Amino acid sequence: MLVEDSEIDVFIHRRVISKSGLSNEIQQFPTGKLALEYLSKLEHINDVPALIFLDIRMPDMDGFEFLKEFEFLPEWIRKEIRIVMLSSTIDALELAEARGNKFVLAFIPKPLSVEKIKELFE
Amino acid sequence: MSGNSVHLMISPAEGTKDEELKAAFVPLNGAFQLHLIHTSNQLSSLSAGQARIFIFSGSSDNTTWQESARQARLVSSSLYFILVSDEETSFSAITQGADLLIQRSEVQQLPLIIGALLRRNIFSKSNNPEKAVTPDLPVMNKLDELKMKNTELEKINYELDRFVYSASHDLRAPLTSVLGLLDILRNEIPAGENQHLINLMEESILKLDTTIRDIVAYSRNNRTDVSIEALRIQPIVEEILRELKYLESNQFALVECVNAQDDGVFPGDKIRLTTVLKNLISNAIRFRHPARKPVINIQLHRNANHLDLIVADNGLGINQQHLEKIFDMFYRTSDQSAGSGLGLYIVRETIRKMNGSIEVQSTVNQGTIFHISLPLQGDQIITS
Repeated sequence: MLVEDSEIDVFIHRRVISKSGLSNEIQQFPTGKLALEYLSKLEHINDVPALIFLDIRMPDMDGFEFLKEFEFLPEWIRKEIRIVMLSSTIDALELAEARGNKFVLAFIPKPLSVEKIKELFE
Repeated sequence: MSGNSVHLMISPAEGTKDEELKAAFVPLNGAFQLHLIHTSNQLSSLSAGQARIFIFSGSSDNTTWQESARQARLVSSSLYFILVSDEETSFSAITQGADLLIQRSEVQQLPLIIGALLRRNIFSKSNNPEKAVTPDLPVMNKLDELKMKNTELEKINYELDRFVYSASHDLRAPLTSVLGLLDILRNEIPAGENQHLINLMEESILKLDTTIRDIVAYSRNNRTDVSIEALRIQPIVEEILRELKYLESNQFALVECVNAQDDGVFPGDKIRLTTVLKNLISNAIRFRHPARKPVINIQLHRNANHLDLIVADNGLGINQQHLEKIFDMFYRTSDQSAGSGLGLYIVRETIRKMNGSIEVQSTVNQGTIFHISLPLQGDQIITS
């Protein structure tokens, strides 16, 4: 799943992800709110995304706010999901907050690339 | 009321209670005589001697402030007209007849402002040279003045932080998008001329990115306090090399870290130290000697009252004539213009912020040595 509001970046992420062979079923939500709504309504474990690429800067609900609300999703959904934060930020505080969040597997600086995805799973 | 009191006319905004206004000026008992003007008739019925300062905050009969000023000056030509408005700029207000423009949010401070103006004798024009300012006027004491300046400064600093934060985000986001697209393009097109064009585009974008990062680092160094924690040099250097992998062309660089301590732990400001080392290492790689692999040697010595950090490389070296100027803002040596010109300037400012010093020695075609000295406070590691 991609939680990202920039159309161009969504295009890039999709290309890179399918090139890396990671997945071909990629959903996209432009705000944290819409992503959470979708997740909270899931009923089957097979529908839960294995990996979420989460942007920081988005309108309405940003990446960090998403993470705060994510905690309130049912355990069975949260267990299946790995979250990777993806952002162009160079702000030291944001980087620390992203890396320190208990739900975040890793922080990847944009742009996403096949190499960076490979590194993720090493 | 003393005969020396200043006559103050106020044209209050519609809905303002007269009592509120009078209450605001109560601390100035005796210093001011208040006249509340609600209609232009009241205005014309005043005598010249009574019209000294006019504060226009609004009107109940739709008189414009410009009209009100004009009428008031008919009564007294030496009137001082203060406009309270959020709709005008100082330029438009003053060119249209006001003497001073105040924002609505500053109205509380009007008595103090008028007191300050009176102390500077702004109102006594040539017709009343002997009418000195009364000594019992309210004086903004030093503490109030400091408090006011402090609040203003905090506001400016906060806005600067937000500006740098926003700017860096809004400037970098499109950059990373382009870099991502270039990467995709590079893998899609056949090898050849076009690949070279893509590399050039990428180089340009990376240069722009470096400048943005440097500006953010510079701003951050200025604005945040030094924060000390226990550090090890090895992980810091490893993190730097990982980040540089994305920025510099992938030239293998050997970076040796020599730590003269047993446990290798020393107190320092992590982010600032990283900034310094990152700039020095990336320079060493960028200005490598074409005939050999770049080797960077980093040494850390801990003395009684200071830390010695030595960064030595085997690169191109720096000509003596440039040596003094390399720390200057935007100074670049000849055509090696891949950087922003801010790197070493930021290094020096960052070290200064840590109360340290930096020196450089260099021999052309052999290499360069940077010698950094940072003060220690005894053996204490202070975490903030």
